[in-house]
Amino acid sequence: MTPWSLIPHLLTSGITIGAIYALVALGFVTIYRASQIINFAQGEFVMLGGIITFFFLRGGGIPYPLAALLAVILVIIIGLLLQVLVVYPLRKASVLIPLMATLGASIFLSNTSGLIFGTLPKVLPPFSGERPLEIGGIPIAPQSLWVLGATFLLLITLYILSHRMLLGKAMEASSTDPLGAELVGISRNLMVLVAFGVSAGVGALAGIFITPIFYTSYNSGTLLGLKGFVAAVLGGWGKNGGAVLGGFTLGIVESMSVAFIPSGYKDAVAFVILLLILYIRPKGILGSPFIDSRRW
Amino acid sequence: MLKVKELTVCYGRLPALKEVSLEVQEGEVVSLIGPNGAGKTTLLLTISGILERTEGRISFRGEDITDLNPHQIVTKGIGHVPQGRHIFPTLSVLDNLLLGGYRKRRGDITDDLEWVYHLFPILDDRGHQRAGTLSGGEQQMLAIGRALMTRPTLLLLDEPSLGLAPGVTEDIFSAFEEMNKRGLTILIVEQEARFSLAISHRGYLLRSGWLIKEGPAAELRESQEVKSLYLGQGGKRA
Repeated sequence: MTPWSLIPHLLTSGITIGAIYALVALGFVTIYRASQIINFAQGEFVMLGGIITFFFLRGGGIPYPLAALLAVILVIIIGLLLQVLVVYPLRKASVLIPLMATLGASIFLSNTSGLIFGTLPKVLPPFSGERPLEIGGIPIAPQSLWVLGATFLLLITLYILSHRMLLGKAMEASSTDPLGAELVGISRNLMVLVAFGVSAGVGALAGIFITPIFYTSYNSGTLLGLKGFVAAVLGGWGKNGGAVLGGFTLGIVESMSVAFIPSGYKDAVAFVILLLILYIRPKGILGSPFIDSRRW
Repeated sequence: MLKVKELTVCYGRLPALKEVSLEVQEGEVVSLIGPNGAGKTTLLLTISGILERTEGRISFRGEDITDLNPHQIVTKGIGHVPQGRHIFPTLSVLDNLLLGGYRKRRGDITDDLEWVYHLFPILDDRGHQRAGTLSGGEQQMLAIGRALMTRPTLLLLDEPSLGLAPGVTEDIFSAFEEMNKRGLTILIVEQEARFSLAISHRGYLLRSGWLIKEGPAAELRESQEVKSLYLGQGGKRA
């Protein structure tokens, strides 16, 4: 088998994992836009979504959809608690301190998950069978289509939330001009809380959709979170469109790399991309409203 | 209506306001004048709950509001047009106004919107433009309109004439008079004391955090302190 014959398979798996990176990146962006905080516990939401669903399904014998729903609700509550217990008390500290705190929360969440649910990797059953569909001669796992469909729906939902609903506009107002927002009665703390809830929910859903494809263990959130962060920077830090573009680009490039370099180096690809983008174009593909290009 | 009692506010250990007491009666326009750094903006931001006071109490319509959050104070009926306008530049003009009505139910805001458009028709024309692209005068009108959308009974205005052409300033001040005729109480901070005293009933003079003079607007306008401080005429330097 030559490397080239692998390309179609690698492309489909790249798109699938790219969708997950995109969702994680969107979680980063949502929280950053509301609060200027980089939440490094973002990947843990994904891990918890998958693992808690597994726990309800296997341990509790709860039907799959209900188990997934309960897991999403539980992870949203964890996200809200993260804001209330960790981020809110540090609201007057400089930005680096809440960032460190979320990193700490990330370690806490993954180790707690390991203690409660065990350290063995978990895998969920696919939503609709395992038999691959043939599309244009390429076998595609039905779960990949679920991932893409769910990502698409979530993107539309987030778009409507942030551009069509007053709540989303209030979040934007609160991040662009906190004083102006407070003076018309938009509480910044409430907006940050909503952002944590939304990000946690999106992360949990990503975890539920991806766990039937990739094993999820208590410590897989860290790497997923970091890659989602790379994706958000790659696409253009702070932009929803950038997060999506960056996610898919990273997923595809990373997956394709396996055809040409040993697969053990796959995870390093993301970080090489991060280094390159920071050297060459720190504002990302689409440009970033938060990074002043004149400084570089 | 508004009672500020012996208010002291500090930035770190440095006091910006020292035992300031003032009152605004229902239906009044009251000017708060004083040079740069006198503490005028500090006073307004403390009334709105943005800054924390060190000593003293603030009450509004007989209710103590000293320890309320900014968003609670807005719902009590205190609107605030901050210095520098602080509009939301990335959102449309209409969205800026709708966010002013954020704390109210949807059906309630049409009347408020009509009232704002009556005062500043340009905001209706520019409804779908991004607020950041408006001229300085239009942005000031938007900031005032947005504060009116919170349906205040007391409006705090911080340097509304700052950086505006004289013609625009006149338009905005005549809008203030019209708002006051409709029953809105106004507390206005201005460096251009001429403009604000002309539409005010009473005034307070603030200097380096101390309240040094108060009285009817006409009287204040004629006083030596005010003349020498602002109007560049009379006083010791002449």
